[in-house]
Amino acid sequence: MDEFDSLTDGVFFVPPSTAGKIAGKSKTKSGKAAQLEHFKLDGFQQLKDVSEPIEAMEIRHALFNREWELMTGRIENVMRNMNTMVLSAIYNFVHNAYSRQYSNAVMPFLELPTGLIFAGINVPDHDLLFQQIAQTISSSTPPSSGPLEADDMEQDHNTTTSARSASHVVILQSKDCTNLKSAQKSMIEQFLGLGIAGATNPLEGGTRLQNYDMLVLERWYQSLCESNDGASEERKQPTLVVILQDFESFDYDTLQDFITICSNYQDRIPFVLLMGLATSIDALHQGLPKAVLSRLQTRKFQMQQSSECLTAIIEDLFIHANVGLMVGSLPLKQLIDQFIHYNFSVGGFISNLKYIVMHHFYANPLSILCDRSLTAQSKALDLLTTGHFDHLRMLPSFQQYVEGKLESDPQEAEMLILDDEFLVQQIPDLVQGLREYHQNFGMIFDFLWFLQTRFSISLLKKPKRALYFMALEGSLINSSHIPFLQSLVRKLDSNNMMIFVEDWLRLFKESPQCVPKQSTALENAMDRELVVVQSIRDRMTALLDNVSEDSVTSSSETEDIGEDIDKSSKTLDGGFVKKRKLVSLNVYAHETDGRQTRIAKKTRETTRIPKGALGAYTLLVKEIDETISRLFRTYLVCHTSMPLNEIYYYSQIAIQQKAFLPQPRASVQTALGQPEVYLNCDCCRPPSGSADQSLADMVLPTQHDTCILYKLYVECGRMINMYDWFTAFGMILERGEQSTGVEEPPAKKRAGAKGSRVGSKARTKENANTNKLDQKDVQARFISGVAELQFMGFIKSTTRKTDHVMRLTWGNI
Amino acid sequence: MATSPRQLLHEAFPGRAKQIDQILGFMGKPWASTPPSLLINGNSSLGKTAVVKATLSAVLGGGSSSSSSSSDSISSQIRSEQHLQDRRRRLPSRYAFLDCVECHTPRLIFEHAIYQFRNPPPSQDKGSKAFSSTHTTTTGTSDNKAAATVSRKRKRVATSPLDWNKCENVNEFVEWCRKICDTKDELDEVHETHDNHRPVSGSISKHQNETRYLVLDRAERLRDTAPTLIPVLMRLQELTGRNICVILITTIVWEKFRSKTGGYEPIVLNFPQYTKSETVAILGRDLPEGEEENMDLYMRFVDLVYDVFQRNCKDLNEIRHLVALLFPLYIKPVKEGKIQKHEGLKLHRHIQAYFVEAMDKLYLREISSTEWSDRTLSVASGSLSGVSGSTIGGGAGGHVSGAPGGDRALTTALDVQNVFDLPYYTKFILIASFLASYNPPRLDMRYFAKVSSTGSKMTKRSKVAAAKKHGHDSMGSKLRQQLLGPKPFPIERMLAIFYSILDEEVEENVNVHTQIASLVSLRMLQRVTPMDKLDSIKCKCNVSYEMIKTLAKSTRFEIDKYLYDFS
Repeated sequence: MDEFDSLTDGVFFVPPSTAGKIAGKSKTKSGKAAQLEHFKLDGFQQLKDVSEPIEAMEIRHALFNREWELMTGRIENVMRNMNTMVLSAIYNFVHNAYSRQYSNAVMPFLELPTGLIFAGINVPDHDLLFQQIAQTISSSTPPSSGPLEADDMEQDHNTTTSARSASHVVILQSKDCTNLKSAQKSMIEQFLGLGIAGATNPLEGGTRLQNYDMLVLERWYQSLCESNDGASEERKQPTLVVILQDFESFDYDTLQDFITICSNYQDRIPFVLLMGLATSIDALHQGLPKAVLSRLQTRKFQMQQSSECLTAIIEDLFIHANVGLMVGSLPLKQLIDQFIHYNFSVGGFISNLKYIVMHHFYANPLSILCDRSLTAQSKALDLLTTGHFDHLRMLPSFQQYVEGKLESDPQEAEMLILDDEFLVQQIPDLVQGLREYHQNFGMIFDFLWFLQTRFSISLLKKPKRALYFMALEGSLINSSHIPFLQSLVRKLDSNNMMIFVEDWLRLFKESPQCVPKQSTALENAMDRELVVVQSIRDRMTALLDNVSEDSVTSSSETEDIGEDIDKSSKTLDGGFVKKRKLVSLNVYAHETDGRQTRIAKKTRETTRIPKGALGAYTLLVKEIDETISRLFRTYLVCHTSMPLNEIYYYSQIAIQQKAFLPQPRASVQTALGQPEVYLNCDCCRPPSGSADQSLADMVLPTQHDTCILYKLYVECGRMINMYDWFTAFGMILERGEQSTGVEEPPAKKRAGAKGSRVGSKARTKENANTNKLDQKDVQARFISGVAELQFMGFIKSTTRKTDHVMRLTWGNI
Repeated sequence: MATSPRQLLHEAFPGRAKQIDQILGFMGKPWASTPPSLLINGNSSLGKTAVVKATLSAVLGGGSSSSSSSSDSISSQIRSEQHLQDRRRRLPSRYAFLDCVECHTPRLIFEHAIYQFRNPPPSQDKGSKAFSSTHTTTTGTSDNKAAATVSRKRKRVATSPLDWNKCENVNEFVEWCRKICDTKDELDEVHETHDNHRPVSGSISKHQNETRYLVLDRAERLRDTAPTLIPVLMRLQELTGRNICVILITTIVWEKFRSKTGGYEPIVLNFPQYTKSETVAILGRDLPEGEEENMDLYMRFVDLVYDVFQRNCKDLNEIRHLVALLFPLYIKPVKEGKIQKHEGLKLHRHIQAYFVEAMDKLYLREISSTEWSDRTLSVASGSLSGVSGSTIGGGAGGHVSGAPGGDRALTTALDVQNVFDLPYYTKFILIASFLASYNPPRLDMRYFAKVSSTGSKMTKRSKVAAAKKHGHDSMGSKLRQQLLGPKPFPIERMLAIFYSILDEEVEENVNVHTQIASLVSLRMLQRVTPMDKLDSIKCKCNVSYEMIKTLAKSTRFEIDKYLYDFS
């Protein structure tokens, strides 16, 4: 330990060079091979506390890789899907920029086609996005859009057939464009770099043009067009797309000139600008003068809001996916909080998530069971050691489970605790239970969402991620949210109720849980629920049919209902959305109307349904209400009540916080105020008399010089007198010498740091008999400590007062 | 050749006859001595660039593109002269036309000038410098679009340009100018044989060189990029001893060009503002194709637009912009048969609403021309508006429903774009910096100290008293914080305010600081201290009160309670 007690000594980590090289050279050396193994497994180590076999470690590693691949795949998918529509719009814009001008706009002069891309405020995330855009544009086919936008597809198709020329794209970032020269240079270089093979290089021959001369680009473009003309006459001239990725960070003067030049050359080179705006259009209007603005023909593209992306990712990953690892309530809260409160960064969210996954598989020995496809035959079960079993039995959820068993089946409970074999047999069943729970949860959660979207009342709108978070916390079932929704359902009038039940049934039928099964053996809970809903529907139809038959002549109003029902049953197949809108509109109207109308409504309802049927109807509504309530209570229970949930739900928070919410000030304060926390030394003990006093407030002579200086520093004002500081420092050192007396002072932590002082220190110790510190030694130590503080930015020299330094941090403001 | 170039030019540029004559007068005969330098100034979009370019190309040949940038009728006449120009095309140009925005270093100016002098004037199919005339500086007569169509459709002729010549300083440039002026080429012979229509016979030109013209557009840029070059250019004729004339085109007066050391004065030629009749005449040329039978209606409309907008907008191009976008709307009811042509008042009332909208949005470029035409078209076709809205917006903003009224449709789509969200704490950081920027530091204790509950609230009386103490009342005094603009504040002070106005306890972490940095990069905060100074960073808040108000509203923070002397 003593050799490494310095804070300043460099420690070098030399990783082995490339794997192949070592493997080829030194296969015999087992030590290196083991090291190699270590890196092959990304640093996964055998966990000693459970003394797990190496295979278990390999499984954890493999599982981690698989999980993470699955997750990234899904995330990428979500992100792509979210932006497909805008991407294809941008594609169309770029490709039609120069053909559209003749057909649509009748402008007296050319305007530079400019796409404004509103990409959200988190700029670091934009790199990926703009690369995606660039890729999309430069490819000759439009982005593959989902089935949602069939119109777009058709449009795209037309575009591809008419104009097949690929555009050339460059991305300019503000860091490359500090002045006009470098901006032009960067643009030209990037364009030429993309040059098609065979195009003559305009830089060849003759004296070189300067590399920021637009003539270079012009000639290059001409040669490009010529080579194209040879290929096919019909081919449209390629457009050059310039993407200004971070508009706000550009120097506006540069940008202004740059745009002017581009538009000057527009008749020779068809430019299209795409600007990434992080804030709003105001930035454009603030940044560019009127003369430049009037040259732009802007079109706005709104990228998907990043909070929407987050919700979509959470939904896809945790609510619907069958990935192994889930995130518990606390870490999820932290993830979301960091996103909402600080940066809106999807990238940050993803890396945070990766950290979680990594930590789970790295440190949790039970993570070998974290596999959705776990069966009784799985290899992982054979690898369980007694350590694993101990861990399993320590899980709170397991204990809860056993306690539950204790009453129903005491023998099994005992077996669970004592018999390892029995436990192994039980695990797959428990995991299967968890899996089913999750699937059912996903479906009922969808149902909850379905309920909420039906009633468009802003008051109770909650984003999906908030609802999910409540469910994780376990507060969803008992929240006022569900009863409120239920009350809204109860208030529906008969025909709306019918529509509602129909939709409900469809939702259940369409969900993957309820696909028709081959045999009744495979039937699951959801199928049973489906039957329940179906029976409700049937009874309801029958009831309402009766009612409409009975009262066909009684009132015109009932006819209306009948028609309504007819209509709705007609539109059942196609007009789902339309109907939903209608319903929600109705409900909204109910809500906004006063109480009186509601009462009026009730009386009207009673007139509609004959007295005999009314009772039956009320009963039915009650049943619906109870069914809904039961569904939520059964399936949305908190995951913590499920046995073994700890294996699948990551619930730690501290390590994540440390990695992603670092607190530099706190660490520095601890390091300087309580160095023993970091140094783990035993010399810095408070004097025996003052045990109650906390260490942080005391200046101990055994502490590191810099720490002593820092503690004195904290007591100073804005200006620090160097001499006073020095005297105080000397006093403290002296006190240390006196208290230890002739005894050898404990090994000082500064000893290793400054080799040059070791000699003088030794001398000091020799002189220690005199109990007098060498003044020069003290001064040297003082100076080195002060220099360190200055280096860390605590003080700076000032000319305002002689012999003083200025305090920079955490003063009184 | 029934018409001389002069008449053609007069026709092409209404209201510029006097200036054209002046320029032609200065130029004189091709080989006559010219004044060493000319300065042409006038406001933007008064036709300076276009007139000079057209005059030069008409007189000196070449650059037929610039002629064709005149209206179609003129270009067709000029095209009849093409047989002459075809011969001249291969000859070195007599003039060089440079844009000082593009040529932002002396070296670029020199090299481009030499290149243009040594090469044939840019031909039509290659496009030309002539085109670098821009919307802001061209007159109302250029029709770049048509020209661009031609230039793009025509197959590019591969000309082999001469080598690019390196020229790094003024000395070399002067030397080059001499060389250029001294080159004898076949031009003279050409003159002798084919120049029969020109007012001079080519016999004298054997012994004397024609004048070269060096035109520098947007010359005001020279003052920044190459201030020492201006005196040199002023006496380039003297330095080279050759017949060379420098023409500077600028929007500012010569007085601003003068350097301390003095220098030759150019002859100043001012382009005055167009009168109403001239403006209308120019706008009359913009009549959209296929609307010939509605000429009188169009002229009436132009008259109307001029009357409505001239007070706000003198810029000819802006008026052209407006006319081009508004005319289809004006004529729509006529075409649909709803309103008769002669019912001027009805038409006027119909277009009035759009005028207001145009004044707000279009003129300020809050929406661009395509968006405007898309919208107005989609409003016209009714149900289509929703569709176009969703393709533009896409994603979340894509559900912009087409509001029934045309005016509504324009505004709703705009508002969607103007909203952007910030992370929760970032909002507070911004609010805190706004407070730090506008509140005097001495009042921080009163507003933000958490010790006493009364301290955070300031009664009206104490506010007034505080204001009185400093010698001005709360309203209208010139020392009001609001009017003084944002003041720089140290980051520490802002952070202290930030932690004080937040309701919950937030541990300081690194994210707060990254957010400050990202606000700086988004230009919402402005860093006052230089980047290399790491300690005691000072910033200014760069957002408007309105924005802060909306932010505060979204976080339910009562900003007004904390602002000193604000209204």
